[in-house]
This record gives sequence, C-alpha cells and structure tokens, in this order.
Amino acid sequence: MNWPVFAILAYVLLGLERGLRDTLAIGPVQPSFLLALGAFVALSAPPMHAIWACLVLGLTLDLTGGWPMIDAPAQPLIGPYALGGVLMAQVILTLRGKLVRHHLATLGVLTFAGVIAAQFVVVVLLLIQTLAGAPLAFSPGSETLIRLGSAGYTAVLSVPIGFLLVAAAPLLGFGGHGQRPWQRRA
Amino acid sequence: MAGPLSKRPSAKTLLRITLVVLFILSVVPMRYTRWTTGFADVAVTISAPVSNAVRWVADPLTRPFRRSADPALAEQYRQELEVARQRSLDMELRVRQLERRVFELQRGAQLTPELGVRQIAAPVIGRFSEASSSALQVRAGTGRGVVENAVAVVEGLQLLGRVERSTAAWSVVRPITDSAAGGIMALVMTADTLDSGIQCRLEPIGGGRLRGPATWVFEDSRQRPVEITTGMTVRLRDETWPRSAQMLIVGTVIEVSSAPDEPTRTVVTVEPTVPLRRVSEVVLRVPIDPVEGETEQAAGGSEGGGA
Repeated sequence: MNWPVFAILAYVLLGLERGLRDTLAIGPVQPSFLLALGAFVALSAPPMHAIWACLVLGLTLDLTGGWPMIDAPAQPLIGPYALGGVLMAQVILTLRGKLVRHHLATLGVLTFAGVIAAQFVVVVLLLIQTLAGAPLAFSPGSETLIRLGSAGYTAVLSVPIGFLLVAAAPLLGFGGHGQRPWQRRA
Repeated sequence: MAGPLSKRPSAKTLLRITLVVLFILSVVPMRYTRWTTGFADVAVTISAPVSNAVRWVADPLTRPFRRSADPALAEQYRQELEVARQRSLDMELRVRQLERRVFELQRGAQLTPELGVRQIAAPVIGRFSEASSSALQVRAGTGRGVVENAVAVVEGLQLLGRVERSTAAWSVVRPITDSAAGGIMALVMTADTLDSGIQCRLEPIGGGRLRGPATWVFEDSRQRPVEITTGMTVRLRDETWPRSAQMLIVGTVIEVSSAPDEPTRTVVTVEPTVPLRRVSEVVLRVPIDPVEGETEQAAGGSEGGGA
C-alpha cells in the first residue's frame, strides 16, 4: 500500500469530515468520511496494512473530536475510535472473502457492518468511562441509536466515495497486479 | 499487495503494544489523560486548513437548502443561556451582599472609631424557636474573639442585642425585643442634640416592640411640656450596656399614649428599624482589649442604669 497517497487521501477526507459535518447531518446523525475510507482500505489492502490504516484513521478521529462533558469543556479521549477502527478492519477482513469483494454494494454492506463494530467499541468504552465517573454528556441508549444511524449513513455515503476511491486505487497500490482490484472476485 | 509491515515479525508485536496502550488510554479516568489535549490541539490545527477550505466551498452551495435553525440545537443554546443568566444573577447577588457587608463594617467603624472595638460580621445560623425566646445563634464564637456581653448591631447602627453565651464556634445573641432581655434605658431624640433627649425606660412587650414611660420634661422657653411624636428616633442611653452600644438606635416611636394609671405621664411604643427576629447577619462589636471591656462593663453595672 502506498502510505503517502493514503495520508493525502485521509487528510482530504478529514477536511470533508470536519467541513461538511454540519451540512450533511440529519439531526444528530452524521456520516464519517474517514470510516468509509477505512472500510475501503480494509476491503482492498493486505490484512496488516488494513488494520494499521484503520487504527490510524480511528486515532485521527479520536484526536480531532472532543467528547462533550457536563459543565466542562470538551476533552479528547484517545482510544475508542482507534480500537473501534481495528475491530472494523477485523470484521471486514473476516467478511470480505465471503462476499463479491470488488463491488460497490459490497463496500456499502461491509462499511455498515464495520462501522457498527467500531461504534460498538466506542459506546462500550465511553460507558466504561461514564461508570468510572467521567462527567461525559453520554447516554448509552440514545448514543447507540445515533451511532447505528451514523453507520447506515456512512454506508450510503461510502458508495459515492467508493467511485472516487476506485479511481485512486492504483495510486494507493491496490491495482498493480494485472486485474484492477475492483474487478477481481475474491 | 504484501507490504513490508506484514513481513516483519515485529509488526504484530508493535500492533499488540499499540492496542494495549490505546486500551489503557481509553479506560483510564479522563482526569488523568488531560495531557492528551495538547496532541488533539495539534491534530485540529493541522486539519484546519483543509476543513476550512471545504467549508468555504460548501457553505455558499448549501446555504439555500440549509434549514434556518436546528430546533434541538436552539433549545440547547436556550438552556445554556438560562444557566449562564442564572449564574450571572447569582454572582451579582453575591457581590451586592459583600458590598453591603463592607459598607456596614465601614460605617460602624467610621462612626465609632474611638470606641476600641473590633467588628465581626456573623451570619445567623439558627433561631431558638420556642415562643418565649427569639434568641439568635450566630456563627462567631470565642474562636474569633467574641466575648459575652458583646454588642450586636444590624444595618450599621441598629442595636440588636447582646451576646448572651459564647462557644468556640458560635454565640447566642439575645435581641433587645426578647421578653427575657429585660428593660433598657433610652433617649427619645426630640432634636439632634444630646440635651434634647427625653429619657425613657423600655420593656419588651412582644411582637418585636418595646414600651415604657418617658420622663416628663418641661420646656422653659415655650412654657409647655416637650412633646414626643411618632417617628422620633430612640437611642440607647444605658450605663449597664458597654460604651460601644451607647447612642445606638433602638428604634423609632410608633405610638405615644398616656399611662392608664397616670394620665399625665407619656408612654411610648418603640419599634426597631429592622425586624430583629428576621435578620440574616449581625455585626458583633467586640472590645479590642477584653479586660478593659469587662472593667468598663463592671463599672457601668455598679453605677446602675435602669434595666
């Protein structure tokens, strides 16, 4: 995998994530461009690369998003999205061999499954923090529903993003062996 | 597609270590990971150019389709505004209370700089609720230098009473209107001079008032007795009270009548300028030199006043 190209893509999508967050939000539900990229990489890259890429993307989300606190300024919490990203990569790596791997619908389905796994980790870790006494403005029930919605929204968004990422696949190093990875079957 | 990372045996180890570190950071209480805010600030700063560029492009394009306001967000802002407003009012109230305390302490000190007393502001922390007593428990005791018989005032110059009992942390103040406080000698001030004061002996009658007969005074220049009218100020002039209490305001005359058994004698009813049962804070006048205060007290007591 070409890491510099990945970094540039991640940077651009981070800009979209932060710049279009309010514009694309449907109520509290927001899509994640970075998790969509993570899902695409997990679908196409070698396992270890996929895991590291998803970990880095999750870490980026952890660092750029502060958790709202009760009566206190928002504070970052490093770990939930990074670990969630790793689980997302594992889920997609497990499932990708069983599906038509290089199809946009597959990307959508796996993104949905992967993001749900990632959000599950996030909710669990935030719940642990809340039980440990952190004054997080966090309600497990509603947060789970919102994050389920976010997973669905990200899955839908991953299809148009997928078109762009397919175009960038050779640059990422995913299409260097004859057939383009998007055209191959698992 | 195989990269160098997957070939290295240490990559998995590095991943495991990273995961362990991330897990620890995730579950450690957030108060111990505030130092990560610095890294987050760097990440946000790095992402700012591209996110601002995206916003700069997207904002004009999406403006026509954007809803005027998110109702949930508006409600959240409204609630935050209410909280901020309440805090602001609370702070203003606190500032006013402190200003008032400073004013009262300064006023008392300015008016009586020669009395050799130290003023201690003490909040009222309890009331003895039995019907026969209106004594107040105030949060200042011997630990802060309060001694028995120290004078308590409110609103700067309104006499409240005397310290009856004092512990290390709190004291009991008996108001002059309390039925157990006994009588006091006072002057009804018919003019601004000391000579214009008409002496009277006041006894508590309940309801936060005092009543008693006034001395008959004849005005030579006008060939008629000096009249007492409602609204006149009554000040303490009682030798059994400490010097720092003399000429403090007892109250104002609210009723003038004749004694039932002696029609020529005037009886005045006096009400303090402040309802003494309902004060929330008092100022105690404590002698700077307690020994001197006691001596003075003893001397005053032996000379005898009237109470």
